Amino acid sequence: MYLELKNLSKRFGEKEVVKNLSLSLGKGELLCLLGSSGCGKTTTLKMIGGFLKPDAGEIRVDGEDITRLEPEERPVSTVFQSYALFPHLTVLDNVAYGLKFQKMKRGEIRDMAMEYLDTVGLAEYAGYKIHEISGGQQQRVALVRSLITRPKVLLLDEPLSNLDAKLRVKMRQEIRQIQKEFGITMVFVTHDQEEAMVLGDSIAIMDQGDLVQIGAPEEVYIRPANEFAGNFLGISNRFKDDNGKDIYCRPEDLVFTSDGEIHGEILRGEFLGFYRQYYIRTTDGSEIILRAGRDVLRQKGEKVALAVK
Amino acid sequence: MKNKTAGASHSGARFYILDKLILAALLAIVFLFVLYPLLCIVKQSVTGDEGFSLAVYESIFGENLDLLKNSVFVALLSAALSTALAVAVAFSVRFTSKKIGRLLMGILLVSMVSPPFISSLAYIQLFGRNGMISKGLLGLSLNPYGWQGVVIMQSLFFTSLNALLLIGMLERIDLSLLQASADLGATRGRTLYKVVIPLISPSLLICFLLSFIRSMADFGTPIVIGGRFETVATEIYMQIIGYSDLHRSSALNVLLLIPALFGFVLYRYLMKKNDKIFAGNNNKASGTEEDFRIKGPSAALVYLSAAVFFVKMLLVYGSIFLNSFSKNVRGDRRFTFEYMEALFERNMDTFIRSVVYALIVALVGTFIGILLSYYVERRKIRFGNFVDFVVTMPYMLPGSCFGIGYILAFNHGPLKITGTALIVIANMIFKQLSITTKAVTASLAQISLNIDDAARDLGANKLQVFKDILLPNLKPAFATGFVNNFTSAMITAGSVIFLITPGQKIAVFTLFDSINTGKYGEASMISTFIILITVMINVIFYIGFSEGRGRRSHVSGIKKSK
Repeated sequence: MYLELKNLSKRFGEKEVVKNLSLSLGKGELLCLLGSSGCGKTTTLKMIGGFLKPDAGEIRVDGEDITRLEPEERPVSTVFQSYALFPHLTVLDNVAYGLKFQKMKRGEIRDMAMEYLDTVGLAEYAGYKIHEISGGQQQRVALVRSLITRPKVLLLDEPLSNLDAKLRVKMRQEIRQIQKEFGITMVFVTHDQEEAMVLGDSIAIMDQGDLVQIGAPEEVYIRPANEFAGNFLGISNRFKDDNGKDIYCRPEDLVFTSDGEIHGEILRGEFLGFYRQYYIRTTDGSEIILRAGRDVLRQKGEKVALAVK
Repeated sequence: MKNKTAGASHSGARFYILDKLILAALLAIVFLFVLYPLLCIVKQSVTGDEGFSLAVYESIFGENLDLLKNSVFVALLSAALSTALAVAVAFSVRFTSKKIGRLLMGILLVSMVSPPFISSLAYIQLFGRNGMISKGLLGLSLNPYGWQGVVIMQSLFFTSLNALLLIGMLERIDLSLLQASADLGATRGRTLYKVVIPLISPSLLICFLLSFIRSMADFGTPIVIGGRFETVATEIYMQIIGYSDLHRSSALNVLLLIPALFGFVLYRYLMKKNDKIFAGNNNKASGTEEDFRIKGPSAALVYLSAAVFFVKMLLVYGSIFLNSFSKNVRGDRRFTFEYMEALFERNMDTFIRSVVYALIVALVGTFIGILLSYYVERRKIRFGNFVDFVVTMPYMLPGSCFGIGYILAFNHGPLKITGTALIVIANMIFKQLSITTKAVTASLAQISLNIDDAARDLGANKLQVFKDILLPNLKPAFATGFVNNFTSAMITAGSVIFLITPGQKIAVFTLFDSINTGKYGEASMISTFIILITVMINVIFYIGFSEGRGRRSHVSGIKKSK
């Protein structure tokens, strides 16, 4: 395995933030580290980057133990959530900064930085200061600034969270494309399950410092390891049907059908654009959610029958 | 694949040693020039003819109880009065129209670049036996000397500093809090009383404390206009300058040191509390929004008190300027260049010396301050809090303590530097080091820690991060530190008065001397000159700094249009 974390632990005072975490990642793969805030995903990333020292455990990259190396000595690079671009430098100088520490000539550094800026379509902004370019552009600068040092593993800490929804979708495609182009191994931290699904070759779900599940997106979505994982990847319904049997399903798996075995009453409906969402009280008293097409209309208080697809 | 590993570890060891050497040198000079002199005072005060002795202290409480009472009495009055006035001044600067606010702020800032004795000097010239107002206008012959004059002058002087501190705090108040209060139906007066005052109450206490300690330590004002009214500080001055009695003056200094230390600890606690109150506020007055303005009866009260202050300030500066260029010949005021000629003939060298010292202090002091804040705030060195405490002490402690401490520490052995320029410069640097460290610390807080991480991530070691990333972003803090250091070095009198030898006088010293020997005309001229030089440096830096900003945005403007 290319990146290996073995029994990694970190505590801040009384609180154990990462508990005995082990996971591994193949070369050229993209792993999404998914979890809500405070689950330990960013702490894990910081330990890989070298900004936090683990209390116990080992980090290996390409077979080399890097656990005790300083950040500047590690063959990994981080794209920060805030981008952490140097405000006093131009776009070009930001991208070129990492090359200063590799034995390269001034001219070579410049050419290479321009070349990388060109790959993300920012060559014409080379002379701009950071505060003069947009958020999406800053995001790209941060990305190539890290890429240019040719790290063995690229770490991204919620890099899209400061962008608006539209740009976020665009940027995540761009990141995926760059990742494939450069064949780079990536760890991508996010709390957005959709982002994780779209981007990840594999997804690792963390909760309160524990690794809950790791696997391909389909695998973790279809077969969540536990209720937490299931809930995190989309709202889940849990109730008993008329025969007292436990039912565990997602909102989009439920349909209205007159011969359905599950009965309930519509509490309210929401129009969400390309679909409608209905909140239903089932006969066992649970409140469940059903997702239907936008032309499926039901009234509040209406008695309905449902089935699992 | 990635070759940064090899390069970084190659220079790693060398960097590590250099880093530790710089830190060790910094800590060494801080302890040598701050802590050691203060410890010397304490040691001296408990050393009798035969070893350890508290005899001096016993005699102090017996003989000098009256002095202590005088000091505390004046300090309480001055602190209360200057804090109250400062509130009025701060409100009237912050809560009026932009134009008036800016004008008042200008007057305040000029008062900050003025030597401490000038209000006393003006007071004597306006209200003294031959005062322009008391004698000239009203035909009275008043005796201006006594504790009343000391209280008024100190209050006037402390009000400027207090007001600036309060204005800083008022600007940190979330504007929406004031809007909410008005929205809920509170009058302006009620909002000031129920929202603003409680929010700045720790700052009010800080003002009171600072002024109290300053008043206790101030020997200049009581000597100039106290007449027969004597305090602990004037007694210390007399013991040193008059009788060269280091034992007694050390013991008296410890008497000042104890309340000052107590006040200092309280001050640090209050500052932390302030940071909590204002933490996370990002809704500062932007200028685009309808700002909060005082009106009604509360405004009348505020403006009236502020007016008293500003009129007094204008009187002070007017009379100083007038007296520099005119003299009273048998009740007739005549224009004269006499004092200017005297200054150019006799005092030019002291002015040049002052400016040279101030420039050295500004450069070296700011540099040391930046390095220190970097290690304490950014690198979080162990005992950083203690280092910060030590660095801040000299600013808060009485000038006489810090001056006499230097005499005791550096008048013998391998470190004998008394009588040299070095001791004066070192004293100035360390007396006001905390002004720089505070400015730099605030600037550092603006630079996200992620920026450091990012630089290291890209292959920079800690020293390179400091050089490439932090230093360029600290330019504004450097400018602030430089100007503050220069100004303080030009106008501060407290501790250096004790360290200056006749061969190497500086301008404030000459000023103090002229006032004490009754040469008011010359004193006025020296004051005018000090103010002009200091204002000039401030303005040059201000313009240079804001031009730099303008140029940058100009370039980017061109680029964006292409």
